[in-house]
Amino acid sequence: MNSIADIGGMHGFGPIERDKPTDPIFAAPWEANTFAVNILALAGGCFNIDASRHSIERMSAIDYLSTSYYEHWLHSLEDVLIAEGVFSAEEYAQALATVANAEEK
Amino acid sequence: MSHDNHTAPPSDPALRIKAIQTLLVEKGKLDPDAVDEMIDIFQNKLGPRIGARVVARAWMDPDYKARLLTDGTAALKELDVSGLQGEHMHVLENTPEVHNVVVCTLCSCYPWPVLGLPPVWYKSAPYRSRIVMEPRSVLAEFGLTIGDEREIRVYDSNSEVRFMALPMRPEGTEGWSEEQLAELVTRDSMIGTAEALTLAQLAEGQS
Repeated sequence: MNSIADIGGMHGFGPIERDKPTDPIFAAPWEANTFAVNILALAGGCFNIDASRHSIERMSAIDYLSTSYYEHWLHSLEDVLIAEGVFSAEEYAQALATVANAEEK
Repeated sequence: MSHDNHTAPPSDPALRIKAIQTLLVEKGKLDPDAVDEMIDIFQNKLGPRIGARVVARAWMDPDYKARLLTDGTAALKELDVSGLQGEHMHVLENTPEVHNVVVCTLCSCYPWPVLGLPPVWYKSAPYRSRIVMEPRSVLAEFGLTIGDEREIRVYDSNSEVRFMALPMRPEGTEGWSEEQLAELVTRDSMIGTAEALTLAQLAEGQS
């Protein structure tokens, strides 16, 4: 399918920003958690890799280009876990509200 | 689905993954200890030093090198290197005639067992879009000038096959041990955006 993810050969992205040897593997703890949860949920059979890829490929160009790499993973986790019925959108909204409240206290 | 709901303010990623993690644990789909173990493996155990050891072995042992180039997956297993995202490994030999460089234009496929997780630039739009179109200019941005007489081959990884470049052995390293040779092998030299370190570069890095 045509998708912004199929970016090879596209023009206009400018210079490559190289890393420094001191850069951490994960820029923040949430990135590390997103990575690990995704791999474990995949290994545990919650969804397969193609569903995960397809979810990222269906992101709109604006969402895809304006969010970071691990935000793409987060997006696909939310998308496929709800689509596969692992939890419902309502349960997710509820869990989000709960963690947000806990954070504020 | 979440991305259809454009009116809600986007939540902090930290909260989103925490909510997902909480639900998966509640549903018995996720062992919380496994999350920390997984992070520890990728943060502290896997990485390009593993690939560097493989390259050094190939430089020392022509028979091993031949096996590595013929069946990368099997030859890596001889050194106990295997695992997730390295199930089908293909090793590309850089020579005075041909320079190989690896990308994943669609996303971020990368040989985890030999290199660990990819750097941010490898997953970025500029690298993925440009390396296939103008490899010479992109490599020059990395400080690597490839002469016009040398062919550049760009390999696009996918979710099945993973590539790794085998850099050329630097001059002046005759008689070196495997450990010494491995010091010359950088992550970027195995992606193909650099050559192995020269002796001068090695000395500079250690001073």
